[in-house]
Amino acid sequence: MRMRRKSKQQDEPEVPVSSFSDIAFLLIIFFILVTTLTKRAGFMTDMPAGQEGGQQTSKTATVQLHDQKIVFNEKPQEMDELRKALSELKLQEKEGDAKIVMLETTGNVPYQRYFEVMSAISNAGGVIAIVSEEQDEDGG
Amino acid sequence: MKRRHKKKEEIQVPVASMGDIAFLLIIFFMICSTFAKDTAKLKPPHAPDLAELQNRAVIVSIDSDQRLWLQGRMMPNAKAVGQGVAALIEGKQTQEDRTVLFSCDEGVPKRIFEPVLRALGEAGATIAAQGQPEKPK
Repeated sequence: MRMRRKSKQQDEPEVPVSSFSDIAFLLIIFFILVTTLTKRAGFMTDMPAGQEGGQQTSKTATVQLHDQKIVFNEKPQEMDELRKALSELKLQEKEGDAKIVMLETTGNVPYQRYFEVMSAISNAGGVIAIVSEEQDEDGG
Repeated sequence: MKRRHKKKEEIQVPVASMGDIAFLLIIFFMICSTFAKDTAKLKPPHAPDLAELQNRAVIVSIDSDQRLWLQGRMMPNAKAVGQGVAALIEGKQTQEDRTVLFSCDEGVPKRIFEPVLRALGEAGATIAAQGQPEKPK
């Protein structure tokens, strides 16, 4: 009698992949939650390392920022006027020290006003040089 | 007559590629993600004509409670911030690599933020000051 040969079904080992998409979507949800897609806005500026007692030439533009008013080259001005005056200096066309604008503050000016002035100088192509009023207590 | 038994064709949604799509999305998010290092809570100042800033490796912040932060760590004073930044940008040649993202709350007084700005300047960093674009009036 001829024996019937059983065809053995080879048990192929299979990696269970059915849950892969679930894992992947969980990871997606995680990344969606932690991702920040907000764009940062601002301006870039170089601040020259100051030398104490460094001489200021008479031609250097100076912005004085007081608690309530802005003085540009000894003339009180509003913020819009300052922007206009700075653009008239054509600092973008100048090079080296000619680009420097001294920024002097008195009193306890909040960062908002300081930022507006710094932004105006930077947008006009100037390099901001902070003029120290006095030595700081906190190691600055 | 033999009645033909019509096989009902079941509509199947092809789900085999779902995993691939999902992993592609993960790769996208991994590339685009920036894990926030700036943990300080602050309200940025606003000004017109602000440019878009790129994300930077070094972040210095001053929060509304006037605390100084460098890379998400609280710093005792401006001098320490300057030293920390100098160490982080040491050996970096390009301006791009030497740029520090500076965020400060709009209400912080000068005696707090000015020493930090000076310290950053002395450390040789280019400052990218973060703000909020002002809406046109």
